[in-house]
Amino acid sequence: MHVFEGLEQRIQFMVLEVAKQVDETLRVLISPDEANIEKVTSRDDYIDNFKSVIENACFSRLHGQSHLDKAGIDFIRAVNIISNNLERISDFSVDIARQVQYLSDQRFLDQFEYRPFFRQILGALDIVVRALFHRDLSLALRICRAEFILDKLYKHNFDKIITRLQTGKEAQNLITTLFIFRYLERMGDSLLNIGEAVIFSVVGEKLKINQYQALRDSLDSLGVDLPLREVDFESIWGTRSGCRIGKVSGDNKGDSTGVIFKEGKHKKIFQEKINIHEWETILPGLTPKVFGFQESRGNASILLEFLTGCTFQEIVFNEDKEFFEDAFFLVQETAAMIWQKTLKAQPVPCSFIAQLSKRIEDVFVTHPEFNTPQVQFCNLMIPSTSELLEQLQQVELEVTAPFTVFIHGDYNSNNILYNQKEQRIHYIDVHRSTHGDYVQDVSVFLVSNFRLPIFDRIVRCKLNQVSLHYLHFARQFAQEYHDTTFEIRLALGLIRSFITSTRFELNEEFAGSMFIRGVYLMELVLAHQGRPWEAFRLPDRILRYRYY
Amino acid sequence: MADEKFRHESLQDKESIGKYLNALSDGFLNGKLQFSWKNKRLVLEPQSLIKFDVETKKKDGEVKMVLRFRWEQTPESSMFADGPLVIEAQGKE
Repeated sequence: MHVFEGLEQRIQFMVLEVAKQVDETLRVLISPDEANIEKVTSRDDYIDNFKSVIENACFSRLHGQSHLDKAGIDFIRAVNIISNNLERISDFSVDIARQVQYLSDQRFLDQFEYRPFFRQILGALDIVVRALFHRDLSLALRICRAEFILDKLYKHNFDKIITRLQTGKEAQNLITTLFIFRYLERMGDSLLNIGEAVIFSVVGEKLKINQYQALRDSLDSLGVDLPLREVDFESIWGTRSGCRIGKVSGDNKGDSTGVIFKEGKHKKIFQEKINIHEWETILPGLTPKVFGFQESRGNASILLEFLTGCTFQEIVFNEDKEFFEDAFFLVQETAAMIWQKTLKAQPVPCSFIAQLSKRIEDVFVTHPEFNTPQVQFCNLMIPSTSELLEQLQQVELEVTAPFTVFIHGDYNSNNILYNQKEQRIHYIDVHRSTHGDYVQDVSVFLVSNFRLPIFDRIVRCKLNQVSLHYLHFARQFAQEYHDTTFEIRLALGLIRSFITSTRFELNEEFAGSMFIRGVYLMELVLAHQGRPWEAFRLPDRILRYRYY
Repeated sequence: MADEKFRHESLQDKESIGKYLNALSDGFLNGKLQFSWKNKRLVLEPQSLIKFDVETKKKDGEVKMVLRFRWEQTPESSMFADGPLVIEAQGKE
């Protein structure tokens, strides 16, 4: 990287300056005095200058170094794009600072939620340098994702402003506020360009992320779990770019075996290695073989056997009935075998709602409308989402799982592989495996089928059937092992999975249909209070998708 | 299947409207809402989950309230088996 030392330092400084600029802009909105506004406008020249210097450095490097390879040129292009967009963010900051003077009441903005915009923008700026210099695609995608969240925040505030405008009061203040939010939203567009530039510099191709949805769909179709988890991104982008998956010679016969290379946070990768080892003692061959493991400053990488087969998610779309039935049968057989073999009569507390509470803020960022307030409906008081959660936390304390088994921990239908030739099932992405409540795997599996954004009637019907059958299968296991609180735990697990899944779903209607299922179950559970939890029964129909 | 429609308009007061609401409530509770007119009859049997929206508007002294119930009229027993696929044969002991 020494070749780019000058550039590296400059772009780092520029990112820092722009982050400060955005931070000062936030301060202007909090207390819009002259001194604060002045700080923002004066820093802009300084940042413009940075852009020119970087541009010059980029061009002179392109011309001055004849030995630059494609990767080198790609990097320089990316730096140039990033600096251009950083400069634009700074310009928007100035625009915002200038708008503030049009507010007749300086506290007017307090009625709107502008801080979340700044959290997103500053959070994304914070990882630009790391993403670029560590060639970290997962961070790059996080930067891209900021744009999507900013759009949502903008829409939310836009609607609020339009509604208020209809009252005819405070028009000037409302329009000024709208402009401010519009500039914040445009900062998101610049961040998207920055994220894409980083991806370009790593992958060497222009991968356009026009739409987060499209990105997610393509991730799904490749059989990798929903985004936002580093390891998954690594592997998938590796697959796509061809730079992270290599071929190694298998044995003397010259066969070549695909290997998969994952890199990420040390803790995760290391845990995956340990878990694979444990799985190997439970059911040899269930998980991929570990070919290599390396550690370096906080990060680690692992070289895994590339398992052939289809993910269960792909199989649901397969029209071959027998193929599907064999796979589904084996999925259940394998699960039952593992559960029986690893069962330990050791009660564990239930923690689904605690897990949900940790992630609910992320859900609200993506879907502010789910953060419903308390509602009075005639003489009926309908609790807010937060109140429901609080009450459920109490319920959860009363419920324990009677035994543990070794669970997958992220038992999505795309973490299960089926190899038809060998008639066996494989588990992948096992870094969350642990001795725990099998109901966690059951609920994650059920919702991983439900949440597929596929609305074709035949596929949907198949998904419904898979869910119902799997529920019956798990229920039967619970009965055999005298698990009397299975139903209530499953309800809590489904509440968690339905609601947390919405943070990846941008289709409002579909996300809404999952959210209201979660809320329905919450209300059902709370209505059961006072009676023994053993008597609770989960309604099967909750798993059936309909357009609502 | 042809659409079956029922429509009934009337004028009520705040006491008499209760009869209608109670009738609806009883219908839901018993799982059967019957509407007949002339020689026709429409029977609704809400068994699945019911999506319920309430919308009210107050504008220039005029009030509008829309209660909307949506559900799927498929018998519970066949709820999961309305497609071409049957997977009952395997996986059970």
